[in-house]
Amino acid sequence: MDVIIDALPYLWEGLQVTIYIFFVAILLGFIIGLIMALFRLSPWKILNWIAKIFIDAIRGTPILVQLFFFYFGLNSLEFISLDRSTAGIITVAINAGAYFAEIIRAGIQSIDKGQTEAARSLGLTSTQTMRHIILPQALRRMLPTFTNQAIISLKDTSLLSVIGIADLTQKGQVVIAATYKAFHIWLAVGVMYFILIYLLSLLSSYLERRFELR
Amino acid sequence: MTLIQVKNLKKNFGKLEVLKDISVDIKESEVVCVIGASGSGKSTFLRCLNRLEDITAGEVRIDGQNITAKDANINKIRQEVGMVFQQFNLFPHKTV
Repeated sequence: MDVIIDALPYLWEGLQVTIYIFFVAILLGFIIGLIMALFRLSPWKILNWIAKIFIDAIRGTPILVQLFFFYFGLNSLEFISLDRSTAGIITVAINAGAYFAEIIRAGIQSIDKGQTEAARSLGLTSTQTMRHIILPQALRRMLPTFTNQAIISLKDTSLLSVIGIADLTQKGQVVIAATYKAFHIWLAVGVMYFILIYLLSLLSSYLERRFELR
Repeated sequence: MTLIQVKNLKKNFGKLEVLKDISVDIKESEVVCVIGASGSGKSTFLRCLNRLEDITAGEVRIDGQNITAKDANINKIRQEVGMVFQQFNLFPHKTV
């Protein structure tokens, strides 16, 4: 038990890095996903193709390979230099973005076509219709799937330890290297991830109740 | 005074001709009833009056304005045209 208590300050530092990377990446990922979903549904063929290629490429490759590509791959080119955390955030954001794109697309398409027609026949433009009529309804439906992807992305951040980002997993490894108490430390690390994810799912069910149809 | 004027309206869905050469003038405060078997194109006709469907050929004028013209401000015209759908839609997240 003392081992864990002694390790807590170090693990706490790592947890802060994990939380920071997660929030930045998930926010960027959502923006990427929204843009790609709108591209995917756009009447312009070229935008459809960009979104389709992006989504297929990201979903079709392992996140670890993407991470190595963005960190080692891009940095091996002379003209680009990304530091660890930038590469890590980009990887998680792009990966989440591809999944978000499909979640958002499905959400938008699940809204009855009559909603669009009713809005358009009242004289709203297509942008106004999307923003005021379709997205508010669609986002509510997406919330549970969205949470699911956020949880997956949070756990994906543990992979960033392999390029040396000092996140919770990396800090755990460092502590174990010094103390040899693998059982205790990995247990503590696991509990910390669990608490974080549990808080996330509590937040999600709160939001679901909040936005319920009245 | 003619409020809605339809001239030689045609609407095709692919090869299927749904509306063939429809012309009608509707005056202000006139009540018009469109009757036909299901699938005969009543709703399609009404949707054309609002440009919810792009028409294949012909002309639709609302209060003298050609709504099928490229430069027509369709959103402005739509604000003046009321429409109730077969299954009418309320926006569930909006309140009156």
